[in-house]
Amino acid sequence: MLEKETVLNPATGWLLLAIFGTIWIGLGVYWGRKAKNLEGFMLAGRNVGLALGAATAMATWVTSNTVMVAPSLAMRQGVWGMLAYSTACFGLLLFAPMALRIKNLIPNGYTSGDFIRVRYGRTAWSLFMVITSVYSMAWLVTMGVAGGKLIEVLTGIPYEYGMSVILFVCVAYTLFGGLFAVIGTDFIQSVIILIGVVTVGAVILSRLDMPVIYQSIQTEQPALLDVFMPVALLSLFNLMFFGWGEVFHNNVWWSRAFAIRKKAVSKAFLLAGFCWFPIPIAAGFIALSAAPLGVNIIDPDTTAPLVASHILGPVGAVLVFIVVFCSLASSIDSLLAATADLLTEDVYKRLIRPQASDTELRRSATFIIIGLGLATWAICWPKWDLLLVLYASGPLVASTIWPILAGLYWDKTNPTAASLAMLLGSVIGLWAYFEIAWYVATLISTVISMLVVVIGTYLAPSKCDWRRLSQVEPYNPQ
Amino acid sequence: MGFDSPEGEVVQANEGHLRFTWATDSALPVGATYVFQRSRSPEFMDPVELYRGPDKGTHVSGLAGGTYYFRVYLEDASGAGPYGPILAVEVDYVDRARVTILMLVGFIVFLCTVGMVIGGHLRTRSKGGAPA
Repeated sequence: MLEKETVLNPATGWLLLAIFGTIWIGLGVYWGRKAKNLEGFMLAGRNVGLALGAATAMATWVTSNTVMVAPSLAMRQGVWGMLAYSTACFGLLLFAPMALRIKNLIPNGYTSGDFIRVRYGRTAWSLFMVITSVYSMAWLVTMGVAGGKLIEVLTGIPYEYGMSVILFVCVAYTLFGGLFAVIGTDFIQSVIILIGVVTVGAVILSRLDMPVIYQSIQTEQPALLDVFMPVALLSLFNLMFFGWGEVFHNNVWWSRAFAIRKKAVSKAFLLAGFCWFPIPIAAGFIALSAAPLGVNIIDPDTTAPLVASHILGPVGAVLVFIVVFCSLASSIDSLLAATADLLTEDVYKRLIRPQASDTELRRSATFIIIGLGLATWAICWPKWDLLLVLYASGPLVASTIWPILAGLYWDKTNPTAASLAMLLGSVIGLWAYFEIAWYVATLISTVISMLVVVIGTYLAPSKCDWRRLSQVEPYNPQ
Repeated sequence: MGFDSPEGEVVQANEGHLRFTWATDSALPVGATYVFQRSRSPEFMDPVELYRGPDKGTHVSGLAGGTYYFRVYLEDASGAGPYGPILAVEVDYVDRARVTILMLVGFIVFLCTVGMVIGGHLRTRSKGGAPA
């Protein structure tokens, strides 16, 4: 067996799951009462202020991947791997001005799909929907897997049980509360995450003998400190563009742009980006000390909880448990809500039942959230490698960066070029992922996509009628 | 006893890290422990002990370029048990010229994308939904 002895016993694990599960579901029911109509359920009444807006953006971006994959990258690629992951904060920083532009162009918009459909037409929209659906599912799966692994490694509760409970809790409170509950819980979760990460990091730092750790890594794992470690250097831009593609295209971020007040929207994303930046560095730094401390790591995805619990004991394990639980919940709920919005608005309302009432759309969103939860649960069952699942979707999301930017800021972007950019970027990027290496795939996809948009628009410029975007209609609640 | 994974006598680890798992015919006897070692020579002239304990696997990272040799064995009060088969691991990173070219490409795309957002924002921030 590969299992290690756990710091906490299963009874403590179940107790923590019960406490936090009850709190989140209770808050979901409480905040759900505010969602009087579909606009309230999907976009929290478009009236979210700076504090809640920044907190929800930061908490959503602190995913299980931040606290589990960033240390895993540091473990595999050293200092550069840790820094490479932190470049994802540029995604939030760059989205700050984009969010203002989005609000100006589509004041009554609901989803990123709205923008692509109206700006580029049905072909680009179809490609975009495939890309965002695959990516959203991959993101959900990595979080379900991370949750199951975390609970197993800290408490001994079997992976399948822990993963199932986390998904159930998140589906339940998103179902009851919609975006009101998501943003409300995100605020509480972001406070817990920040306090938890700072506390764990500070205590660990105070207990480590840094010169000894440095000497040990330099002797036994020299490549982790090598400033020219090839894989880590290449993954720098790969991870950066992956993070940009995630933020620029996904409805998680667009729905927040629509939900936050216009005056606060840019500041909220800037603040979230700056608050997020140090978190993967702190988490990754903890991982670098694993080998010098004699912590045996079998699965790199479990590095952070194992090292923290090794240094801090049961109290540290409980803290890590709470922080990662909050990170998971704050991202899974956001993704469930935003993806349900996208499928309700762009597929059910636009393609299946254009005359659907507010009540019917709300019911459709409910079924989609449950369906997404069940699909995620089924795909999570094989206990995938987090990096494998996550980075396979990198070329897909990176192919949307330039079509979205050119669509927002250029008057003459050619819609066919935008579609071709997403198609060729995705296909060639995926080819590179499987035939060359994961750490160049997203970079290649971004380059191809950028060249196709720029050359296509230069050769065959088109004229955009911006009024069509501003005429996207709000729902009429019945 | 020997390695479950990776399989073979010589394996490539071109990212400088590798996960090892090992197997025995029976459960770990009381008082016994697994010992996992690395060496730069196939004769294990200067072995470095990377793990000692009850786990049946470990993850090795931070390997510089070159060839490494790994083995695992059981040790109890009577001493070291029979050594398992030696596994050779070759680490051959991407060459620096290719890394430099790809880094340069990445940097150009980075500048273009950041320039696109900042330039677009400066041109459109006062125009509301009007054309860029």
